[in-house]
Amino acid sequence: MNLGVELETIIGGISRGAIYALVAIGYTMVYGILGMINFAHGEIYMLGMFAGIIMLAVLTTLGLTALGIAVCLVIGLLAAMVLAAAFGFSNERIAYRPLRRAHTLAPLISAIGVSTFLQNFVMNAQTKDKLDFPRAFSEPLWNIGWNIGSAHIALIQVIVLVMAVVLMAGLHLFVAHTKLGKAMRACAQDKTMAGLVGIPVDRVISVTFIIGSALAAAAGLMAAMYNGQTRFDVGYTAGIAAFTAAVLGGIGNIPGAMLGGFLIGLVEDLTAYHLGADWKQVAVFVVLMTVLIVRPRGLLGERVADKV
Amino acid sequence: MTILETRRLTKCFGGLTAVDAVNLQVEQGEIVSIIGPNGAGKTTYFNCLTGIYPATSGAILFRGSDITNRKPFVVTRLGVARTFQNVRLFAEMSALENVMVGQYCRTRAGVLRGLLRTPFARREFSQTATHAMELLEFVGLGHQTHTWGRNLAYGEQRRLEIARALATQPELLLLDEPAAGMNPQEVGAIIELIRKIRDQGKTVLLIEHHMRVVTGISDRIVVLDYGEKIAEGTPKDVCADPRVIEAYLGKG
Amino acid sequence: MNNGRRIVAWFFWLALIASPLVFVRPVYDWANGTWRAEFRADRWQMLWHEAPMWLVRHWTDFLTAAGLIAAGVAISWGWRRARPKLAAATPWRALDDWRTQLLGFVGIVMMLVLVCRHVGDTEIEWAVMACTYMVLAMGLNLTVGMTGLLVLGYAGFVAIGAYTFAVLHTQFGASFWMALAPAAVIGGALGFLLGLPSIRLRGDYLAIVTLGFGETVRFLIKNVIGEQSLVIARDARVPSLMSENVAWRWLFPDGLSRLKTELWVVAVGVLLSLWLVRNLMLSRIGRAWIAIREDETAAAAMGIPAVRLKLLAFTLSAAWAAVAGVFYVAHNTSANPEMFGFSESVLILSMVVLGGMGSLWGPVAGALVLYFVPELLRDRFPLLLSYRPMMVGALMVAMMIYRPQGLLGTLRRKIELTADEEETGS
Repeated sequence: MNLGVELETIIGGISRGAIYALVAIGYTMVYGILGMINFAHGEIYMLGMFAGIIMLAVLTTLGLTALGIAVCLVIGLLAAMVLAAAFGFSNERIAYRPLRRAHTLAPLISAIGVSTFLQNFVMNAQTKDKLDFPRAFSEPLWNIGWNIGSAHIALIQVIVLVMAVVLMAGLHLFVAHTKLGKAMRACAQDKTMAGLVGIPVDRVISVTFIIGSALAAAAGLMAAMYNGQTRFDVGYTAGIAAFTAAVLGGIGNIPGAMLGGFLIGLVEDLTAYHLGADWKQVAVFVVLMTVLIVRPRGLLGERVADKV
Repeated sequence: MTILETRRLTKCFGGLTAVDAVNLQVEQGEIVSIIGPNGAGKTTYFNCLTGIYPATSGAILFRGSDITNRKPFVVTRLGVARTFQNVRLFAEMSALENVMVGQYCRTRAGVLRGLLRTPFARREFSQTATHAMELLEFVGLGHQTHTWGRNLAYGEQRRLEIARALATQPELLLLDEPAAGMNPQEVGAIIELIRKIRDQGKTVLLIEHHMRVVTGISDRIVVLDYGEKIAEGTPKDVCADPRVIEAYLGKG
Repeated sequence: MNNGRRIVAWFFWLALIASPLVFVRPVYDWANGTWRAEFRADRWQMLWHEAPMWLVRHWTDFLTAAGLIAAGVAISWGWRRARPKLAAATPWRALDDWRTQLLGFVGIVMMLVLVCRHVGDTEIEWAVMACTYMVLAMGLNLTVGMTGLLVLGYAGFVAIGAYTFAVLHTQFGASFWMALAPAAVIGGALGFLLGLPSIRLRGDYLAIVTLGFGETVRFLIKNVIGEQSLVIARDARVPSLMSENVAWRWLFPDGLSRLKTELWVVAVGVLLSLWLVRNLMLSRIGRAWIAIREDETAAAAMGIPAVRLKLLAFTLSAAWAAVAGVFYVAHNTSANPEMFGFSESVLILSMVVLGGMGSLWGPVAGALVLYFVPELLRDRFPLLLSYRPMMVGALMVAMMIYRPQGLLGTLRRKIELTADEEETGS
């Protein structure tokens, strides 16, 4: 076995895992606060990709590439995050908020409806073929790299990892040290009580969706940059992988989502290397089934006793 | 015959002991009331009896055999039925269907006979429906057979729950606050109903706060406080017990 | 009019955030080797010029639609007013009566004969597919509607049935009729095996697990059996019934082509499904399923073995899908993995949701509205068909918010109890 390639695969897996971690955070935060799986979260990830690529194309058209790759990428990232946040916010208000008191399956069915709608909306609005990421922005990042032993790390992998870690750290600081973050934690523990002590629960929920969507969009754009292309239906497969990551780490637990993301990224890349790219989905499904049967609370989750 | 016995039944939720080593014996044909301040662990006790919560330790014996930690539907099949503190009817079914569902464990038509609606299935259907009608009459809901569960008045819903529990043909009936939220007239009707149930040979164990119900029909009263049994005896004895008074009213 | 203002505000907000995606397109400039963003003037044009013209031109259609909706509302309002009296007049018993059933049966047979004689092949094709979807939706209704288990990978079970037939055919030369039983058995067995570890999971987790299962099935088919379509030879499909028999010729001057025979077969399938589902709804098992859906804890407390019955619903529904899958492939004359993706599962689910979860005729209505109507209107309103997935998505959201009981609600039969019913034993 080629150790060099193995190591590269692992590095690639960690970069990919960082992306999944960002998306998994969105699933886990919404589950923690609302107790539902936001099935449409994968589509927000996909929207971020399209929005970012469009922004980059606009920048190129306006001749602003002179600003440099880094600046342009940041602008694209911001555009993606803003648009995705807008969609995520609207999603919650339109499709989930009216169903707060309905029985448990209603929000999930609604989420499936939103997911189908968004996927086909993008397919019709943009294109049903794959959309390439503007190489001018990503190629230089692939060309710069270092060699560690017989393995090669590209700058882009480092950037993806660093960006993801920065965003995750930022989220952690936000949740742990700001007033709004504390409000989010309170709502995740007990929505009713939080409302009774004066926390604006609806607003907190909106913020949760906005943050989760922005993170997913950032992840999406980075994934598009890394993979070189995207399509209207990538949200579906990535969503399932990220959801599995969230469950693996312990649903409702943000550090768990991060850990789960990295693990799933590793699982995927290692499977792709050893068995072939097609088997990635099966591997993810096997992980999901195993976790749900053997240890449903995930790696870092807490066992919750239900009171009848 | 001792129909129900719990030996040092204990239920802990993490650090909280909700039911603390409760010993209880209920004889067949008795009406026993469990009373105690809110949070004393009464409903938790019921949930352990019926298998909804696994007991942390201790034993539950029904008619001499151990039913500790058996699944709820098995416990019901063995002859223990219950009602709930917050009425849990099947909202999208009529009163009749609610009671018919209760007879599931006493009927036999399986999926194949159900799919094909064989003569056996049809006969069983008629029998089930007739029996359900009788039970509805018994609890005084004979005129509401086709009203949907969620459209019934509150008092009627409670009576429907009792009818549904009776449909499982239990020997021991656990009633969780059957008179809660009822006006004096309805309370009288409930007392009558419980007496009728006992006269049929069933044993009734009930949780109640309504002292009129408790003192009116109980053969014995058991008092729980903070999960422990602090008193037991005839209504007269229990009401005079200083520990009971203290539990409800506080010291001094 | 606060609500009106909110709706308008939301409309403009959504239009705003959607516009970058609708009006801007990244285009690769081959000459310069760069990307540029192209403003889609054609769509802008369409929005401001052609769309209003189209709306104005089709004002009659909007009037008709408004009229139909008004009629529907009036009928349901009148129905709700009349229902108490109708219940007293026991009309449901009329439907239970064997004479009415016979009349209905004869009516349907006559209608089918007329259809075969006078209706063109395109429309019959739509009818066959719509009926197939009806059967599929009724199968899904058992788990989603009656028992309350959300199943998202239903197409996977359809694929299992389809490929059982395809493989049995290509390897052993099995015909359509011969494949029905094996497909049911294999579908049911796989449903059971999937259910065993999963049925105890919470509702949304179970949904994701079934989703993963559907995808895994498709993946395994692609990689183990192959991506190309498996073709069903002519003699193994539903046969055409041509005959020189005088009576036959009088009934069907052109004989019954394969397509028309398929229509009869699937119509029988729909009627059979309706009968089976109705029986289940009246049966002890069906009541227990509904109790589980309503309140599982209370159902368990009433002696209902919830896990066992959920597993049963799962297995039955899987077998149902597999049998329908056999017909689907026979009709389509070939099977390939792309036919059984998640979007198919969602389409069938939306038919159940739209029609009314847990209702008898709901899936029929759902299949008609979501399959037959767009096909019927494809010339007038081609967009209905091409944008159907978007419509389906929006409909599911709207249904959950405004009418979770679907079009036909839980319009379940009232159980009437009088001496006559027991005597006639309907």
